[in-house]
Amino acid sequence: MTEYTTDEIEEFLKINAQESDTDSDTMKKLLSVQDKIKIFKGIAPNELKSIVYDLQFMRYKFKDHVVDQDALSEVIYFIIDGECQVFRNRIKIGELHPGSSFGESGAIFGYKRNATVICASKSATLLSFKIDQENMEFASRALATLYRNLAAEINVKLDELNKQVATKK
Amino acid sequence: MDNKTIEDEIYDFIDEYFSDELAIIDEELGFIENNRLLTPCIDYTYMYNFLSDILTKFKIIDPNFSSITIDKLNNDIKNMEKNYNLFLQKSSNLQSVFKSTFVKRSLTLQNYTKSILDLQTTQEKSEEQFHILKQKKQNLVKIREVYFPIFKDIFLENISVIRSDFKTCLNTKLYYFDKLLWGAAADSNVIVRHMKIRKMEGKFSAKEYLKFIMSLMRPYTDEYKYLEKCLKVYR
Repeated sequence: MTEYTTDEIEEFLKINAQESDTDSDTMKKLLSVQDKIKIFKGIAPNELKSIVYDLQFMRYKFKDHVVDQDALSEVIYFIIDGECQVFRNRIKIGELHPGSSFGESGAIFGYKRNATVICASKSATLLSFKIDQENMEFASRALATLYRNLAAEINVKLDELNKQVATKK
Repeated sequence: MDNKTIEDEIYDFIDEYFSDELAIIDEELGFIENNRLLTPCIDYTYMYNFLSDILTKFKIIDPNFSSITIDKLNNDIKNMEKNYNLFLQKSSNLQSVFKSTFVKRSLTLQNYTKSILDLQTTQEKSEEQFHILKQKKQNLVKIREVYFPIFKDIFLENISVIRSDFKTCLNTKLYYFDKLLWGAAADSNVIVRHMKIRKMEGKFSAKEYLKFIMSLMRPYTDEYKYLEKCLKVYR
C-alpha cells in the first residue's frame, strides 16, 4: 500500500466532515419524512441513504397521471402536498393524501402497476425515488429490514382483503 | 485423528495459502481504522473504470489537473483491483485447491501417501505387504473423504470473509478517490469552463456531469448501462 502523508490524511478527514453537508435537498426531504414511510421503519438514516437513489421532486397538475395501470416502473412515490386518486380499471378505488406513499410493491417485486394514480388537486408535489436492491454487499441489513417491513405491509393488506371478503359473504 | 486436528491443519493451510491477501487486508483495514476513515454503505466497487477514465479525460482537458493524493489513490486502487482479481482466481476452484494444493501440503496426507509409495517401491512384496498396501490405499481414499467436507466448509467461510474485507477496503479507497476527484474538478476553472462551453446545465457535479455525458450517448448500449449504474452512486 502507498504511504500517505499527514496532509493527505487531513484531506480524507475533510471529506468525512463534509459528508453530512453533501446531502441533496431531495435526500434531506426524504430523511425528514422517513418515519412516515412505513417500509423505511427501523432503518438508520445513513443506511437509508445507501438503498435509495434517483430522488426527485415531481410536480403534477390536476388530472396529470402519476402512474398508469399495467405500466412497469421501479419508482416509489411519497406525497408531500396535494391529493391523488387511485383508479383500477377506470373505477375509483381510493384517495391518497399528503404523507401517503405508494408504488412500493411494484418497485420492489418488478410487477406491473395494479392501479392508475392521478393528481386530484390543483397541483401536487411528490418525492419519487428508487430502491437499490443490488447493494447487498454494503446495505444488507437495511435491505433485510425493508423487505421485512414490506412483508408486514402486504400482510396488513391481505388481512383487510380477507375482512372485506368475509363481510360480503 | 479427531476433527479438531484436521480443522487446525486446514486453518493453517488457509493462512499460508492466502498469506499475501491477508497481509494486504490487515494493512488496509489498519489504515482505515487508525485514520478513522469512513467505510461507506453505498457500493462504489464497480466505479473504478468510470473514475479512472474521468481522471484521464480531466487531465487532457486541464493538464494541471489532479493532485498527488488522487494519483496515489488511483495507483492504490489499481493494485488492489489486481490483487482482488488474483484472489478470486485463486479461490474459484475449491476441488482443485483441495486436490492439487492442500493434499500436497498436508503433513498427515503427505506422510500417508509417502508410506504407500515406499511400500509400492518395495520389490518382492510379501502377501501380507500386498494386503497392507491395498488397505492403505483404501484408507487414503477414506481419509480424503473425511478431510474434504471439513475443508470445504472452512475454505468457503474464509474466502467469504476475505472477499468481504477486500471489498470494504476497495470501497473505502474508491469513496475517497471519487470525492477528491470531483472536488478537484469543481475547483478547476478550465474543466468547469470546458463543460459550460459544451452546454452542460446546472452546477458542476459528478451527477450533472454523468447525466450530461449520458444525454449525448445512444441508450441501451453496454457503456450506457454501466454509466446508468454509476449514476446510482450519486443518488
